[in-house]
Amino acid sequence: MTLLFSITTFGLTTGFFIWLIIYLFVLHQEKGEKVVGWLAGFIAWTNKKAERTATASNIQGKIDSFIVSVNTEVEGLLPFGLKVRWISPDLSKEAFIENDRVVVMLNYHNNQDENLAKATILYMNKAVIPEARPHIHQKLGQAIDLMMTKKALFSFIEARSSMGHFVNTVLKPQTDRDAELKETCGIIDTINERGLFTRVLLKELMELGIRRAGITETGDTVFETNEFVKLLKKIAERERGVDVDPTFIKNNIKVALIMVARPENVDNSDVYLRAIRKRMKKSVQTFYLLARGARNIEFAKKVTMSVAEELKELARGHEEEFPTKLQDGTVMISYCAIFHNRKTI
Amino acid sequence: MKTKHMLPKKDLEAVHRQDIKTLLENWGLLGDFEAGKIKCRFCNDVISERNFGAIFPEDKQVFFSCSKLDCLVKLPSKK
Repeated sequence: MTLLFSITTFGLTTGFFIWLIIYLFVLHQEKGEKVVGWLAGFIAWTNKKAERTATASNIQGKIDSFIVSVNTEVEGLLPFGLKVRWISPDLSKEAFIENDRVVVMLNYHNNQDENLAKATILYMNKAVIPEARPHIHQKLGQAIDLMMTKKALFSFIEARSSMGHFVNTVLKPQTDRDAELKETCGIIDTINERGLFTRVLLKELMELGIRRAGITETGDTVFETNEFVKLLKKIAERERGVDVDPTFIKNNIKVALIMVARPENVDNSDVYLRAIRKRMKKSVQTFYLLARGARNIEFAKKVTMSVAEELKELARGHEEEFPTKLQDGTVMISYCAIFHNRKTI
Repeated sequence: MKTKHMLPKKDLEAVHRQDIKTLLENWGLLGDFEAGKIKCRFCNDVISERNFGAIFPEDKQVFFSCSKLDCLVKLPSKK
């Protein structure tokens, strides 16, 4: 229900204000946070409480908006929000040590760039695929934190300068002195431009982390996840008409990325159904049906329908259209539909 | 009932820059802080009000991190 709709329905009455409160503080808390931060910013100079409220709400509202947006791509990828809890300056040293908590310093609310960059990277470090961390290479983990932070800060349209602050004070210095980290960040950037970073890489790592929970890592999974990243890089860099085997079947990750393209004057899903059936026999767990461009997307949706109707062993998952950037910089609409194999081992 | 709009929240414990000196004074560390004797646990830079990043306990002592984000990500995960 939009703001305009509610005004025309309720008028500027008590009903409208009740609706507004429910909208901002129950249904869309991230928007409520932004409103509170904005209002508190006006009176921040008057007292300490308003200054702290403005500082905290500015951070919470923006991070929560990013969480809502990412979780529409992969449900549960960012499993919790962020709440700034101020400690009292009267807290005793003994109580601080006893509580065993890390306390960060946040600056005045008008130092938004520094506060946002600091809170966002600390949040990503804790929230993104925590269960998978023992099973991925340390450099990959670092690169994921950095690129998710960059992605989040880029999404804060009203505070885009925070991304410049992050790039200049963290990303560039770190990648300049660490060639391996720079290369991994570059790979993730390419994968992200093709829409495969959160939807495929982080989704697979999140599920791997859950499956491997409690199992001691021997190094095999770390090797496997690195190989998976290499495959996604190949797919992301694939030139038109060049074939890359899109199937990855190892001990833990078993996926197939099926690129759907409608051949000239042919409108038949059979070739894709056959390709999926063949891979189901090899115990592929997750199928990603991908397409680019309006004509291919229209056809891919028909293939998705055929798969859902004919292959009952597959459970239909998330389906989405999203913009992607090609190697030449062109932005193109893309499509992804996910199917999960119920019969895998 | 929890909706998709109501994610659980995790605390980011914070101290405001306006409270730092009071906090350190209460802990008897303000003299060391102003004398430049407090250093970053990770990079050894001298901590000032300008580059104050975080405080954390370890082995019953208080340690400091500067505000460089590559030091902040090394902060220990606490409960």
